[in-house]
Amino acid sequence: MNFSQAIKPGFADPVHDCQAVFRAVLQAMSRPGSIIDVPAGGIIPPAAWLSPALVAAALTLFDHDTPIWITAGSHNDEAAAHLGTYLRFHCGCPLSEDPGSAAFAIISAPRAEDFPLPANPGRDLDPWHATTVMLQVPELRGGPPRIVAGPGIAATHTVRAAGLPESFWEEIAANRDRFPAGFDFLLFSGTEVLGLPRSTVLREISPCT
Amino acid sequence: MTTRLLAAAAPRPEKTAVLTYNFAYLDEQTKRMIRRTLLKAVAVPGCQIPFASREMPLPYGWGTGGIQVTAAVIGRDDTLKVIDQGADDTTNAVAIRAFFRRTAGIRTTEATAEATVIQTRHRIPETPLTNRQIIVYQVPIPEPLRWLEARETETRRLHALAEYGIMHVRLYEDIVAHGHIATTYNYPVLVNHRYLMSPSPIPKFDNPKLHRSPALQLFGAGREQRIYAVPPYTDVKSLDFDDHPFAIEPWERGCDICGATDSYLDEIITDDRGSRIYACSDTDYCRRRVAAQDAENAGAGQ
Repeated sequence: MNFSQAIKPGFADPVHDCQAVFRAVLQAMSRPGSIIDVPAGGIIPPAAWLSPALVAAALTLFDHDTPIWITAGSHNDEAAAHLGTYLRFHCGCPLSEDPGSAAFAIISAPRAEDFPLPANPGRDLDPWHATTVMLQVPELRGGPPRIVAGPGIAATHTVRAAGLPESFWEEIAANRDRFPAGFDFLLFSGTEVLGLPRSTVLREISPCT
Repeated sequence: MTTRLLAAAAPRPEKTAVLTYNFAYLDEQTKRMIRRTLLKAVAVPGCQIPFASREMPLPYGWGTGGIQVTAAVIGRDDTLKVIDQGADDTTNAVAIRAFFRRTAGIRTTEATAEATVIQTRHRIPETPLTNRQIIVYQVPIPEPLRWLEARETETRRLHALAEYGIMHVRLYEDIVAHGHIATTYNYPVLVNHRYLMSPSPIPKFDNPKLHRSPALQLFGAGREQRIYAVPPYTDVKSLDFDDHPFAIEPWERGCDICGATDSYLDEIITDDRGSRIYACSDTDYCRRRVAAQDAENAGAGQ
């Protein structure tokens, strides 16, 4: 396999494709729990199992200023290395072995032991230094229901993302205690994204009466 | 004849010059940096996030922060409205609309309801915003505590600790001196029960519109290199006291042009003898009301 075969192309029209993808991600972050379509139509992910939406968001947000930490989760290390090569080629972003220094973390198949995250949640003095965490999940619908509330949500919202371990929701709950420090999560599946920023809080599911 | 035809077919130099700009003026690396900052700002409502503000082709204080935020979010399908003190036809608003028409080729409008992105200086439109809209505020001084504590290191610490006692003391001093809270614009607010935020120099009349607005609200301060945001449906509380609750100023009269009693009024001097009228500061709102009244009168006359 030569170099040109190994690396798949990025956006066909980077300026306008990035803008459209950014608006989708901004929408996801400002309306937590809502499933937002990412216009990632032209993207051929570097590996078939990767969500085009995740790859599109990475191409939109990463550059030489953003160290990236990739953990393959249940996927193998070779797959993670392949994604790393792709992102280094298209974005020029450094790949970091140290999650604490990463601007973005990519977890392509979250496992229970991935949380609590070893990444940087920032400090109260500079909460903007926190790592933004991009997770790929098998499905954004059809999973066990979780009720979320907070800024961007009119009352409450039910998130039904599948394939997330219980320890992930403990990390979301921990965000509340360390706010304004904390992790912002973007969950990707296929061509869709769902945001769970650190301002989002979990609500108990009240039993039916 | 042939030469004339050739001259007509030649590309116009000013058109090609326009095309040499990247879409919406900023380079892509700058847009990425601003976009990452915006995502952080939305995730921590009301927190001022530093960003590497660029020099823009207009002076600081003319909306460089707002323009950079608008340039980072706007796309080909957007319709932009720009207001300055509520008016669509003031120099700053006209110039910024023209700037984005030239550098991005996007549609612009004066109608609040038609806009998908609204950049504003010092007002929030009277027409209620919707969840399809983004409003971008131009901010001169993003730090609400700046006139109380000059050191950035200290104000940053106060925000980290959510220690906003000095602002309450300032409002209390207003009550001691004037009998009421005399702050009428740039009235400090608490966002999501956590961050003290400057709403930019909007009149306090507009503060209730910040609270749980369905629109995404983004704030850009170019000179001070800060971006902050209020996501939709976020609690925004104007600071006050139990015995001196926040209240907006009542009007003793309506707009002299459209008769509105629910809109923010500008005092306009009409001659050298001190004559004056009071008119809506939101020109789009005023014009729409007058048009509706005219249509009604025309209908009644038939």
